[in-house]
Amino acid sequence: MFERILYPTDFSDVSMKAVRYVKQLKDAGAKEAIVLHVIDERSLVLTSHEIAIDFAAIENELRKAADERGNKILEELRERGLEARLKIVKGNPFKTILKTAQEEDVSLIVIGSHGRSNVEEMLLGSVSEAVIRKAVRPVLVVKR
Amino acid sequence: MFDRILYPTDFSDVSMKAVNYVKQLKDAGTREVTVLHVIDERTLLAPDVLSGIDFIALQDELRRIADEECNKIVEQLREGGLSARFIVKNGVPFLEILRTAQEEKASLIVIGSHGKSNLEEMLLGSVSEKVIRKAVQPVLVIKR
Repeated sequence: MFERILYPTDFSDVSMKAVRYVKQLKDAGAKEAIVLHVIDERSLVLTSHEIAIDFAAIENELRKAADERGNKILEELRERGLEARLKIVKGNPFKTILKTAQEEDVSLIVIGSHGRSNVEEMLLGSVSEAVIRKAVRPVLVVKR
Repeated sequence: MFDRILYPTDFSDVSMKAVNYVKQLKDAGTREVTVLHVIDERTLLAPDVLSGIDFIALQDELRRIADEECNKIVEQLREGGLSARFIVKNGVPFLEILRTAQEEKASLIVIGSHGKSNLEEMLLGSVSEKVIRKAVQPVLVIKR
């Protein structure tokens, strides 16, 4: 029921709140956690070709940071006795999350209710909302 | 983290799927479960006083059925080693669910993604959606 957990994160505070829940689920049967960070590809494109921005360099920086932060989470999870691995993928956040849930055939998705933007008026972040609606698997939403 | 669970249900198939998840959470620390059924008071009102529908009898029937169904669920949960009780309330479903979560100091709400209506086009039922948005507690959404 909870064996393989997908934990998508953007490393925001609300997202990090969810890690404790993943850890606690070990006692309920969780064996493996997949930590997924999606680098939003839409912020790595510009329609105008006149401005020279080194997107490859930005992506590398983002990957490096994601690797570092992701590995810290892996350590925490492994300390708790869970098998854990990290996936960093460039793409459309919610689509990539759903695709990964499919490919990895996860039993549960644990996700924060909000991400970095955490707009006060929004009672649910846009990515989390889309995941909750479209996932076929159960979703544990950890509120801000 | 998972010690007190609020499990709102309308006894629909999707809702009943969630019972197994509640039972599984015992190993993650769940001690007490409150099963909640809300009788939608808006279906117990008639604009026309002369319609001849015996709303009191209807209400009693609904309550009787609710008691029966809730008892079955509570039994299942107790068999699973959990301390469980049920509450039947009259009101606006999502409001009563949120209010009960507060009153019962729930640490987690476990809810089906859909209820009786289970419209194919709706990726998330209206009551579940409101609960997910407005709850301050984490919500485990069991998809249809």
